Amino acid sequence: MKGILICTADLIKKHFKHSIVLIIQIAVTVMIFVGFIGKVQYIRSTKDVANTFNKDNVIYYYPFTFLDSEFKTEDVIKQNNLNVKSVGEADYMMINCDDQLLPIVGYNDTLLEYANLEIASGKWFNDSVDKNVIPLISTTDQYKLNDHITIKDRAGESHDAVVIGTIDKDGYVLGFNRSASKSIISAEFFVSKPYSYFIAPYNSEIYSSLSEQYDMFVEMGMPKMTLGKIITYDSKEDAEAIEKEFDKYGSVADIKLMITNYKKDIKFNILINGIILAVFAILTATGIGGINGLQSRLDRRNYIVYYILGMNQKQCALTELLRSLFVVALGFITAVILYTFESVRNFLYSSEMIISPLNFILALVFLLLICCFVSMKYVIDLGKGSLIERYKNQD
Amino acid sequence: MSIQLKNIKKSFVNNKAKNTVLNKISLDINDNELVAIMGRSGAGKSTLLNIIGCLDNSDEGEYLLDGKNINEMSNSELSTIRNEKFGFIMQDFALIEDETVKHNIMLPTYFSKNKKKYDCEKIAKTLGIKKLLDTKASLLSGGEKQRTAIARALINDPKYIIADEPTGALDSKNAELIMDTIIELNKLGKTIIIVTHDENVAKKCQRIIYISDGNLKAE
Ligand SMILES: Nc1ncnc2c1ncn2[C@@H]1O[C@H](COP(=O)(O)OP(=O)(O)OP(=O)(O)O)[C@@H](O)[C@H]1O
Ligand SMILES: [Mg+2]
Repeated sequence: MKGILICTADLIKKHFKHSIVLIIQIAVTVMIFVGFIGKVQYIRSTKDVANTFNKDNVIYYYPFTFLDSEFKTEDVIKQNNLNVKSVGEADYMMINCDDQLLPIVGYNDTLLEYANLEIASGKWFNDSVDKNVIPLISTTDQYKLNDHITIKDRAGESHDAVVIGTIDKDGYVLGFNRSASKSIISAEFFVSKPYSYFIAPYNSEIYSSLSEQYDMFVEMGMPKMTLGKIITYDSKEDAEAIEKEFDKYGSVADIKLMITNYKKDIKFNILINGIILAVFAILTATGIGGINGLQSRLDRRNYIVYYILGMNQKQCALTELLRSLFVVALGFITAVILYTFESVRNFLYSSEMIISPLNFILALVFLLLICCFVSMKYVIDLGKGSLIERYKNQD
Repeated sequence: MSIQLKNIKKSFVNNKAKNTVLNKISLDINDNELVAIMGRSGAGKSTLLNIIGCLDNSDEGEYLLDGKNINEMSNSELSTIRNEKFGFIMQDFALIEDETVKHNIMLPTYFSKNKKKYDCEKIAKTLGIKKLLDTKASLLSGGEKQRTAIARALINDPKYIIADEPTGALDSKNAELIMDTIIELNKLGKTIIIVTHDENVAKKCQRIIYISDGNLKAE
């Protein structure tokens, strides 16, 4: 084994300059692959969230941010005699939890019914919850299932709250924080990382008073967070009237259409990323294959000498395998090191990618597959036939 | 008897034509012999030497080395035999050109299973290349390269030395020096088989064997 390692080191040293280009190429492939897996994972987890919204007869409405605070959706509906079934709303509030001001997102009944998010532990809101305590879904690690929290309202009165469910910390919630139109759809509309500590039902007396605290923040100069709404309807004619009217106050789009566009978007995204990945995979494969082929030829003499001096052909093959694996390992390590730089991460990856050690493990497996595929030929060649004969033939 | 070849046959297929290089050759070599093998180019001298040195197999026949049947041995057993029992000296030196003299000399010890003490410096000193130990092999003269190869052949203290035209790439002065060294080694107890085209080299050997048309003729 000592001999194999020494010879491997000698050969690596001999070709180090040639290997640098290949190492960089491998590193780039790893980075791209990691991003691709990140995208696929993102899409996988967002698709579930988006699918909870795949319902008939729902319109998404996102008000213009410059509308004054007097503007009310109900007024538009009443004034225009629109036939609306129900309006689903979310509100962003600051509340006093255990003497700490925390952001919370309140969903009204309609929204609670439509947005049946995947729960990591516990359960989604339902009627069986004790009316005397405020149910909360925790979206951070900080609050765990069944934690009790004391909420203080503006009058200084305390209320009991309990965490009835949690959402996975890497999970997604419905966004409601982007405008959407019929044609321009971003995955970000449907999903976002949780931007509050809790999701809570927005039907309690207590909240309306608590919500004022948020208004206080707005007065203090904090930006107002505009959230989208959903409007449900019964007939196509009603939908047309609703869309026509609300178009004046923001952007509107039918949820079904948005989901369809979103799915097209996903497919396109995967296709583009897949093509880029495939191109780099082919480049890397030909790179590893070509350079390995060249090096194997250049190294043939070394292997003959090793063979004469006491290596058997299997050991020669093993040496060759170790040599190619070393280059792959260096490329991989280069990628990992590059990843630790924030600027590289910001340049290559977006928030629409989930990146974890799993991505890197898959990238390594992918590389090893390529490496095995292209260098096996040389390794197998070295392992069989007579080295001495081929040495003579080449002269 | 230490090397016993019985009815060894070896042929190569070139462009579908069968070329029988060794046709039922039998040869015995005793301990501490110095044997020269001669014959015209293409006669099969290297082929015979490769079979004796366990670098290549024969197609037919029996090969006993120190009483052990080589035909029955696995590849890894054969590589151990090459490493421990044989020292090889080649016409083109077979050095790793971009490594130092010392690294080249030490290579066989890295493949060796027994933990003998190797005295690289002493061997290098006897061969007059001690000062060159840290020099890259590619920078050496032909004579120095061959002395490096001899040092490497000796490092594992093998019983046999196989030399395939060791002086073929050297000028007459260096050739004589190398030949003197080889004869010296024979006096120290090594069994040496040497392929040569040079009558003067052959004359210094105890026994000369001629190969032609796949057969051996002793003199
Ligand atoms: N691997 C091989 N494949 C096909 N033919 C071979 C192979 N090795 C040797 N031969 C043929 O076998 C014959 C003997 O070759 P060998 O190298 O033993 O000759 P040699 O006596 O050493 O010649 P030289 O003095 O030129 O070194 C030659 O005709 C050669 O072409
Ligand atoms: Mg020859």
